[in-house]
Amino acid sequence: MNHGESKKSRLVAHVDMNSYFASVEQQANPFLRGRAVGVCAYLHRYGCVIAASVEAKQMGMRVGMTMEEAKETVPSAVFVQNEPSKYRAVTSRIFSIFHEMTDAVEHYSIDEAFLDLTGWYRDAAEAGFAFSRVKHRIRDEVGEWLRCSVGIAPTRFLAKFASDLKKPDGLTVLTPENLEETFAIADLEDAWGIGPRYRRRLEGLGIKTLLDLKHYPVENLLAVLGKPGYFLWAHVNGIEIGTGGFEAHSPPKTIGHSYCVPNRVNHDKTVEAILTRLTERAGRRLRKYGLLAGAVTVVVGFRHGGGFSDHFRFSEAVHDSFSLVSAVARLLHSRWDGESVDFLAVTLSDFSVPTGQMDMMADRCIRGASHPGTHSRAPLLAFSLDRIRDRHGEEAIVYGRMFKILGRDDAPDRIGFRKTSGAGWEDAGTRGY
Amino acid sequence: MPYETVSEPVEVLVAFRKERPEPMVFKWGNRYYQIRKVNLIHTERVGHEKIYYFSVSDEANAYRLSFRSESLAWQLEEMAVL
Repeated sequence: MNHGESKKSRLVAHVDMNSYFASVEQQANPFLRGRAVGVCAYLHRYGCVIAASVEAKQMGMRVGMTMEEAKETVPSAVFVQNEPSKYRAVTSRIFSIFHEMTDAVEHYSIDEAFLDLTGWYRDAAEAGFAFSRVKHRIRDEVGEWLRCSVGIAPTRFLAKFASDLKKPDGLTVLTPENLEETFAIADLEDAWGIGPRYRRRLEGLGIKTLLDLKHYPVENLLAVLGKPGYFLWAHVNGIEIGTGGFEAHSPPKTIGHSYCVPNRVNHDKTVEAILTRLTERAGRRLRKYGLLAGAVTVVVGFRHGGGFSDHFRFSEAVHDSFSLVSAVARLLHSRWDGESVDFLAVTLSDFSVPTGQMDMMADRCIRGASHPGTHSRAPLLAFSLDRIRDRHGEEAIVYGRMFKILGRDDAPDRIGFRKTSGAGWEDAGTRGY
Repeated sequence: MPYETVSEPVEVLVAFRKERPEPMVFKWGNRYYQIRKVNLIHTERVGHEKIYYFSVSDEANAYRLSFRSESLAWQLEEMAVL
């Protein structure tokens, strides 16, 4: 980003891949093209539809439906299980094209990105032309079935608003000249951050369109809605809040994994094994980030209702598997007597960076080990185990309690619906071909 | 379910083109399958090994072939059974 540019001349693009996971599946299998396709978290009647093809959406299938509901709505639909590594690989190839357009690309999620085009293109029209070529490149170089909607505007909010205006396969350029005309016919909920609740409150103030919101006295909005009211007003008036989101990525605040547990896990008595797998996976990511966790939280949902959430605070922040797994096992067994569970989650939090300071009390502060002195060896052992896994695969060496689930797809890899790191995808194996 | 897991070794004839290698024909059992189109290529790492997946199709079906970088082995992973 050219920081010397004034805010007035900023140019931001938002690219949103249309019906992404379903389109990738249709790309991989041409016999799915033109058909209603639902991509599910699990191929089970209660499995959730996490993406629907354009055709399925036109027939009424919605993301979030259970597979059973989706089948009732669209009886002709085909359902496939999601495959995260495939989507990450395709994303990586698409984003590598974006990185050729500018030096500031924010990977907002697996199928969305913001690009700061300031200083790279003379005006919005030139940027629009460049992005029509990007759309062609995605089709030519990645897959002919992949479509995206692009919005180009002076701020992130307006760029996202613009990309949502035409789906699928849209390209919308918003400039100060056409902004009011567009706002006049747009619904309030078309804007990022306005849902039914805010809509009711805004309508109570006589604000029926985004144009009304743009011209509404900001003092009144502040008085009625507080800070969020100001943010809404600023967004529709083309004022970027903060640095615009293209700053360097901050480290995560939490790292966690969860799993909706099928009943066979209860029959097989592998609840603890699954929880250990989730903890190990979170621990691996923690160590990759080079962080220490100060606390761990376990959430357990019971099949017949209820459940519990409990956390453990380490006397000194840790990152080795032994401390994490033993803390999680203690939390589980303190509140669980073998009831059937349907949900498990582990979250690491309260992160700090290792200082390199040696622990004088190491022999007395043993965590997850029964002999003095093992404390300081646990992190080294964890790193050695990580190196073995780096070379031979994630489950080349595992806890004995995970033996029963080895090779089974319980708690498989999942796509996170959240902001992703711009520095590089965690799965190093998926960067292009 | 549109896919059926196969996981069987196959013999593959590959064209090493300028931009990328492209499987042309594979032999599964005693039958040869002429690949009409490579639809998608993606990779995955299992430890040190990199696995290349080729989603391909002929006139009638879609298949997924894999190539492992350590063992240099080709496998038919799955086929679509629509």
